[in-house]
Amino acid sequence: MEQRPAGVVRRWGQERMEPEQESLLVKRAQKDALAFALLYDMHVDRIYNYVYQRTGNRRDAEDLTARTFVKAFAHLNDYVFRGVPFSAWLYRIAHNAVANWYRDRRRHQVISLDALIEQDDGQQRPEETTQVHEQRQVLAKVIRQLAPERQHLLILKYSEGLTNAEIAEIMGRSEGAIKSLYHRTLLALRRELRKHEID
Amino acid sequence: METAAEQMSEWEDLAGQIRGVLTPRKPAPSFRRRLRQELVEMALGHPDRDVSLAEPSAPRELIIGAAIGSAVALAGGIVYVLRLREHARARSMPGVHLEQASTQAG
Repeated sequence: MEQRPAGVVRRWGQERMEPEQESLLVKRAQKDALAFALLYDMHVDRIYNYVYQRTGNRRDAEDLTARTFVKAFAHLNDYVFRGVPFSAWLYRIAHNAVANWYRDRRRHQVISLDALIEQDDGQQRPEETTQVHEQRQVLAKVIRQLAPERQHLLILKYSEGLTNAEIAEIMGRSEGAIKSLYHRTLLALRRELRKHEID
Repeated sequence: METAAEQMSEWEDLAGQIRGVLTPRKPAPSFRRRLRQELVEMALGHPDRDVSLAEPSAPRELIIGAAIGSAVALAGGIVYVLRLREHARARSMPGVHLEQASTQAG
């Protein structure tokens, strides 16, 4: 049976390493292109989840996840470990891919943002009432209208279950700044939801 | 005016709703495998990481069609030049004139 290296913890099926250990793996992948597959195995689930939460549909999430990893592979030699986890670098690539995707959507106007949100999230879950379903739809829409960094924070906190300290590391900010951003994000969400209630 | 307890309860309710919307999503195993395979093949094909990230500028059919069109046009041009040269050579050779004249007379 394959043994996991020391320092690796599991979070919903994916492996996480200490940043220093991970940087050694990145160094290896910079010399041996095949070792990149190990980094892929460790991060594909979280990058897919991030992109899925930002786009709201499977097809685009798969496309943007693939673009993120191809780009990471091509530019891996540009990565230098400065105490920031490798995932922060991957998230930045994914974030840019999503930003370009939104820009192209707006330019071509192929499909509206609302329609995109409804592609996957539009399905009512068996256990929920119509009212709860509608509330979820509205909240999903409001979250996807937040500034990208606020969406990123909510995804890391609620979808990945990271602590403020871990989020701060990934987003390159202090823990205090993350707490403050989180508070402002909740206030903005509440304000937008109240607007929807009035409408 | 909201009390602290009411406010706390509202935040907790909102947090619960956010958690419900941002349920973790995992990629389909088939997609996960396929992308891994593609990356490994890319690594084997481009150990120097010289990977083109640009979208193909035109579909393959269009490129093949353009290549065939260019080849046909080039071949036509060559045939035209050869025939011109043949005619020029024929005009400069008197024997050919006689032969043509006799053919016309016959």
